[in-house]
Order: sequence, then structure tokens, then C-alpha cells
Amino acid sequence: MGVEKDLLDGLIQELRRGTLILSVLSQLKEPRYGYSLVQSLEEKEIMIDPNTLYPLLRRLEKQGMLVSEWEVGESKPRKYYRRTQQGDAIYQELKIQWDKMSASINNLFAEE
Amino acid sequence: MNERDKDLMERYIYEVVRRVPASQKEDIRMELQELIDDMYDAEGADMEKILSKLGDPAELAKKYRDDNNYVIGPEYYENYVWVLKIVMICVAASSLLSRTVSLIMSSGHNVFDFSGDLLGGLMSAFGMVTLVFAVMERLKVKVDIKTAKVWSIDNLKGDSNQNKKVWSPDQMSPIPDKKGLISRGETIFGIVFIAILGAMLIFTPQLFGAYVFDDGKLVRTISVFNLEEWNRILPVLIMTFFVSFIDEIIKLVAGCYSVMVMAGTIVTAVIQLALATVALKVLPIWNPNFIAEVSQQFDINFTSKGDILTYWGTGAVSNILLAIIYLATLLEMGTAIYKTMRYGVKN
Repeated sequence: MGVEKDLLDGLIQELRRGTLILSVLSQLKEPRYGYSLVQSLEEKEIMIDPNTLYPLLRRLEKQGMLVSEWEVGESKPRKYYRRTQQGDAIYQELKIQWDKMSASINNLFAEE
Repeated sequence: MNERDKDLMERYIYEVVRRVPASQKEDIRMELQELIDDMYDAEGADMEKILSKLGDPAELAKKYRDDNNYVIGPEYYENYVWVLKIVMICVAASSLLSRTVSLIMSSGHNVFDFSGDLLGGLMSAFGMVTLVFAVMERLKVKVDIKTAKVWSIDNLKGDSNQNKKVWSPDQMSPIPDKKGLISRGETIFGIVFIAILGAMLIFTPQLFGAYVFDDGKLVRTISVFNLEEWNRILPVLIMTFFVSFIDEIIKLVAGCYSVMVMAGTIVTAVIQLALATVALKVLPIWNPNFIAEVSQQFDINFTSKGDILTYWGTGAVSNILLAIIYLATLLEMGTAIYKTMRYGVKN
């Protein structure tokens, strides 16, 4: 059972990984800093480890989907991320793809 | 946040940041500080729990770097390229010099010999540098895994982390003392010295000696070395240089004194001393006819007691040189031990 559980955990994680970018992009219409993003996703029962999120944000920025800015006015400096125009477009496209995919998968399930 | 937690946080950030590309270091440092601070405030001021949740800094750095399989990883890459440049330049320069001298002496070599020499030299240098770094990369990885495993048995039983490696904040060593840092200048000097001397001994051992000019033109040289036995002697010399080279690279990559660096210095120093002793005392390294040839060529007699060259062939030259080498090596070893004990990172 232990091995099976490990296997299952691994598979769930893999499945989740594919949806992370979509989840993150969805939350960044307005600027947010990293940890508030972790919290808002957790509230909506999307679990993401900060050690995955932070490098991901950086990568999405490098790919031009997000843009970041350091806010230094507050008590401590915070880095805010938000979607770029390109990020908006990709997010919309990904949403369509997601709907298609889940419809197809649901069809598969319905065959059973 | 108390002092201890702050210290743990700084160690953690240091461990991540030292593994990411230089251009991103500062930004990632600030970002992690922000994150850990936020987590600390929101998830109940338990620094160890937070850092454990973030996991092994090496893993986190890997995510930031976004890459995996390599002969020489990002941790070593910058140093690797840097050393490679220096060594290649030194080898090319030495090869050029040797060929120029040969051309001046017009001993019948042509340009093709030169390009062959140069290419061969550059390729060996490239291979040697790459080999050293690739081996270090592998060894370092091995060491990391070992410590993580030892630690997990005592501390995190039953943690079903997906990674087999389990990391905890306790594993971090403190940020090194400034006085324990090894400057790049220190190592650049060593590497240049080794590369030039090594290349010259390979390409142009005849340049170490007396120069015979005829009518202002260089005709030939009388080498102080025993070139007839050179095939036997050169490998020992190359080995000596290779070992010192490894020591320099360890220092360069570590960037500060630590037990690992100290151990590396001691081991390489002992090997160097042994090889130097063999080269100077066992092998017939010196040209036995040097004095005879020089006296004949220049029509000088070395008879007065004060003349250093009268001691040629008595072993005095070897002894003096060996004494200098011993002194220098022991000094280097002493420095490494002292700096490690006083300022070094203990791990």
C-alpha cells in the first residue's frame, strides 16, 4: 500500500503541475505579491508550495506572460507580479484549451 | 524574529543564492527574504518548520535554474569557463613562443608543425580542465547525497517526501568569515604560473638554459635539463603540475577555506612534495654536461670557489630547489590550516 500511495501522490502531483500555470495566471489580473498568491490559491483549495511558485513566477516573467515590480514604500520591500498583455491572451487561450480538455476527459469517463 | 531565526533564514538564503546565476542573485535574495518573512508572520513564528517546508536549498536553487543534466553544472560553470580561458591563453602563448624560438633557430620546422602543436596543446588543456571540473561536479554531488541520508535517519523518520534526499535547516553551515575567503587573484596567479611553466616544460624545455648567440642571432641553447632522459622526467613534472592545478581549482570553486579545502590542500601538498622529491633526487633531471658545454662554448672556466656553477652536479642545485619547494608548500599548507581553524566554515 505504501508504494501505491507514493505512486498515487506522484501522479496527483504531476496532474496538478499541469494546471499550476493556469491557476497562477488566473489570479494575476491585478498585481499581487508571492505569498498573498499562495494564500489566495490555498483558500480556493489549490495547493501550491512556495518553493514551486516562486521559481514559476520568475519563469513566467522571463517568458513574457508576467511582469514584476518591487514595491519599496511599505514596511518591507515586496515584489508584485501581474499579467502582461501577452499573458492575458495566453491565459484566455489556455482557458479554452482547458475547457476542451476537461470535456474530452469527461467523455472518456462517460464511456465507462 | 529572534537572532537565531534570523541567522537560520540568512543561512538558508545564502545556500540558495550561491547556487543561482550571478545576474539573479540579488533579486532572488530579496524575494526569498520577503517570502520567508511572510511565512514567518502567517504560519506561526517557527523558522525551522518554515525552512523545512521550503526544503533543500539546493533543490530550490535547481528550480530557479530550471535545468538538470550536465557535465559541469551552473555551480561550477562560471569558474570553469574562467579557468579554461586562462589556461588556453597560457598554453597558446607558450606554444607560440616555443615555435618562434624554433623558427629563429631555424631548425627546419614549418608552419604546419606549429598548428599541430598549438591544436594538440589546446586540446589537452581543454581536456584537463574539463576533466578536473567534471570530477569535482560528480564528487560534490556525492557528498551532498551522503550527508542528507545520514541526517534523515536520525531526524525525519517516516517523512514521505517525494525526494529521497531529505534536507533540514540544521545542515547549513554559517556564512563564511570575510578573512576566510580565498580571492580570485590568489588563484589566478597560481593557475597562470602552473599553465605557463607546465606548457614551457612540455613544449620548450630547451629554453631553460644558456643561450648561444652568433652575430646577434640565436643559434642554439644549452639546456640545464637532461633532455635525453626527458621522456622519463616530464611525466613526473606534469603530474606535479596537475596536482597543484587541482588544488587551485578546489580553492577557486570553494571560494573560502573549509575543512574540505584544507584536506584538499594537505593531500595535494603531500603528493607534490613526494613528486618533487622524486623528480629532483631520484631522476636524472639535470643535464650532466651543462658545465662542460657552457665552458666550451663560452670559453670560461668555473674554477673559483665562489662560483655557484662549480656546485653543478654535486646535488646542491637539487637540494636548494627542493628546500624552496618544501618551504613554499609547507607555508601554503600552514596558511590553509590556520585560516580554516580560525575563520573557516566548519562542516
